[in-house]
Amino acid sequence: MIKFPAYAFLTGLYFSTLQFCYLILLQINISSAYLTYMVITASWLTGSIIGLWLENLDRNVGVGLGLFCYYSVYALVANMPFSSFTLVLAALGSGITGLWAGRFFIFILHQYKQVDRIFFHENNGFWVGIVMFFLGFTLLGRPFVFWAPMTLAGLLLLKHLWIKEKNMSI
Amino acid sequence: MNRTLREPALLFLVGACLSISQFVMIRDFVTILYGEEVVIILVTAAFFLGLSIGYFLALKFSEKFFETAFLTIAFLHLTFPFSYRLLAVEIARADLSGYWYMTLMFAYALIFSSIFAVFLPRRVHRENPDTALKKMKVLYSMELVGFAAGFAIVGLSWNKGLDFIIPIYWALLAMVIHLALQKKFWTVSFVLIAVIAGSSLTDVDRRTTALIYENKHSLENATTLMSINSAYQKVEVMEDGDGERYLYLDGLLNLNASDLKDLNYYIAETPARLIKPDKTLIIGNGTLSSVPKVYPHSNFVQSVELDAGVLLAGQKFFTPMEELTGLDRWNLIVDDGKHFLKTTQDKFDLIIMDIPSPLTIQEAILHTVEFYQLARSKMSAQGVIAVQLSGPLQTNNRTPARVVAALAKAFKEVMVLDSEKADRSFAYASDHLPFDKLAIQQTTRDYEEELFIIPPIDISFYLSEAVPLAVDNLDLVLRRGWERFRGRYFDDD
Repeated sequence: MIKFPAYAFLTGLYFSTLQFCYLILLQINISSAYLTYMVITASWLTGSIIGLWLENLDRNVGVGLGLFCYYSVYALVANMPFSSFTLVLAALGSGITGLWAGRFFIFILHQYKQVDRIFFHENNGFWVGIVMFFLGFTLLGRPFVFWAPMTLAGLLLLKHLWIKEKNMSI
Repeated sequence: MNRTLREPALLFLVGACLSISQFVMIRDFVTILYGEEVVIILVTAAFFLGLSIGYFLALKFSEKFFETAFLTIAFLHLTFPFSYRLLAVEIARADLSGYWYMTLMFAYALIFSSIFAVFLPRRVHRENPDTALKKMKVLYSMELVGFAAGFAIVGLSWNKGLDFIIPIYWALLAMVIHLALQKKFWTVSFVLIAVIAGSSLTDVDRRTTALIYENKHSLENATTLMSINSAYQKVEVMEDGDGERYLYLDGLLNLNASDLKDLNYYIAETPARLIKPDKTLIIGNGTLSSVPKVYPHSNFVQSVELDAGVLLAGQKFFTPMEELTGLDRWNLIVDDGKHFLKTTQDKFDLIIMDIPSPLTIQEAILHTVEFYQLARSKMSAQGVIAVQLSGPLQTNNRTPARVVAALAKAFKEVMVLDSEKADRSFAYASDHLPFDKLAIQQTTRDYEEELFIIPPIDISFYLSEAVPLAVDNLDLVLRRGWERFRGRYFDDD
C-alpha cells in the first residue's frame, strides 16, 4: 500500500534533483551565464502551469516523459553543445519535464484531499533534494547527474505500480 | 472586486512576493554569513524549510489568528533590511556563537517565506471536494504565473541596490494585504509606513551594510561605496577609515586595492613581460585592473568577465576609465569563460585566470583538469596560463596544491612563484614554458627580492598528497566551505 506522504516527498526530491541536474548539465557543457538559469526556470514553470490543466497526462507517462526529455538533453549537450538549437531544445525538454510538476498536484489532490499535507511533504522533498544535489555533485560529479534522476524516477514508477489502479483512475 | 477575481489576483501577487522574497533573503543572508556554496545551500534550504512550516501550519489556525499573524509578519517586512542586519551586528558585537546566526536565519526564513505558503492551501481547503480540484488548478496556476512575474522583476533589479526592489516588494505586499483582508485601515497604514521607510531606504541600506562590515569583518570606520545585486552575486565596495577600498562578492573578500597591485604584477605583468604575447586572454578580473599592465606587452588583449556588476564596481572604484580609454587593441566581452573558450576560433599565447578561490561549484569548475584542458586547446604551442592559487603551495591536499595538481595533469610543465608580498603563490603552466627560473628572477628582482620559485622539475614533490580538482571531484567546495563555515561560527578558538 502506497504511503502518500512518502510518495509526495519522493516526488519533491525527484523534481528538485531533476531541476538542478538540468541546470548543472547546461552550466558544465554550455554556459554558466544567467540566461541558462533563466531559461531552465522559466520553461519549467511554463511546463508546470500547462501540466496543471492537462487532464490526460497519466502518472507513468508524466514521469517517463520527463526522464526521456532529461536524457535527450543530456545526450544533446554532450554531443552538440554549441548548436544554435541546443538551448532551445533544452528549454523545451525542461518545459515538458515540468508538465508532471504541475499535473502531480492535481493527481495527488484527487487521492489525498489534504492540500496542506501534499505541499508540505512535496516541499520537504524539494529542499532535501537541494542539499542532496549539492552533496552528490560535489562528491560524485557527473555520475550523480547521470544516475540520480534515473534512480529517483525508477523509485517513483515502482511506487506507481503499488498504487491500486482503482484508486488512481484519473 | 468579487471573489472570483480577487482570489486569483491574490494568488498571483503571493507568487510574485514569494519569488522576490526568495531572492532578497538568499542574497542578503548569504552575504551576512559569507557566500561559500555551503552557506548558499544552507540559506536556500532554510528558505524552503520556512515554506514547509507554512504549509504545515496552514490549516491549523482560525481565520482570525491567521489574519493577525499575517498582518504582524507583513508589517515586519517593513523592517527589511535593517532589522536582520542590525541583529546580525549585535550578535557579532556580543561575540555570540554561530547558533545565534542560525537562529536568526531560521527565524527570518519563517518571516520571509512561511506566510506566503499559507494562502493556497487555505483557499483550496475551503472548497467542497467537487470544486477543490478546479480551484487548485486556477489558483496554483496564478501563483506560478505570479512567481514568474516576480522572477522578471528580480531580473529588472540586476546591478541595482536593494532600494530598487524592496519598494516594489512592499507595493505588492500592500496589494496582498488589501486583497486578503479587505480592511482599508491596514492597507493604508502599511502604505504610509512603507512610504516613510522607503524614503530613507538607500541610507539605511548603506549604513547597515557598513555596520555589518565593521562588526563582522572588522573593517574599521567602514563606508559603503556601492552595494548592488548582480545577476550572480551581491557586489559590494567598501572603504575603511584609511581610505583603502575593498571588493566583496557575496560577503567574501575578493580583493583590496593594495593586494590588487601585487596580484596584477605576478598574474599579469610578469608573464606578459616575459612572453611578449601576440594574443592575451584575461578571464575574470572584473576590475579590469590587469588590462593596463598587460596591454603594453601584447599585440591584442581580450577580456572575458561574466558579471557585469563586478565590471561596474571595477570601473567606478578600482580602474578609472581614463586608464582604459584609447586601448584600441583591447576588447571586452561579458561571457562565461568556459563558453568563450569553447566557441572562440583564436589561439592565445597567454591566458590569465583572475578568478576567485574555488569556494562555489561554478568557481571550482574553472580550476579543474577539464577546464585547463579546454584552455590548453586554445593556446599556441608555447602558450602559458597564469593562475593565482589563493594561498602558498605546500605539500598537502589543500586548495593551492589541488589547483596545481589539476594544472600538472593538463600541462607538461608547471612553475610556481611563492610571493610573501602577495601572500600567495602563482602558477604558470604550459606544454613548453618559454622562460625559466632565472628569467623570472631577473624580471622580478626589483619588485620582490625574496621571491621563492619552484621550477617544473620540483613541482611533483609538492603534489604527492594532492588530488587534482576535476568536474567529478569537487569535494573541495564542500570540505573547504564546511571547514571555513565551522571555523567561523562554531570554533571556540
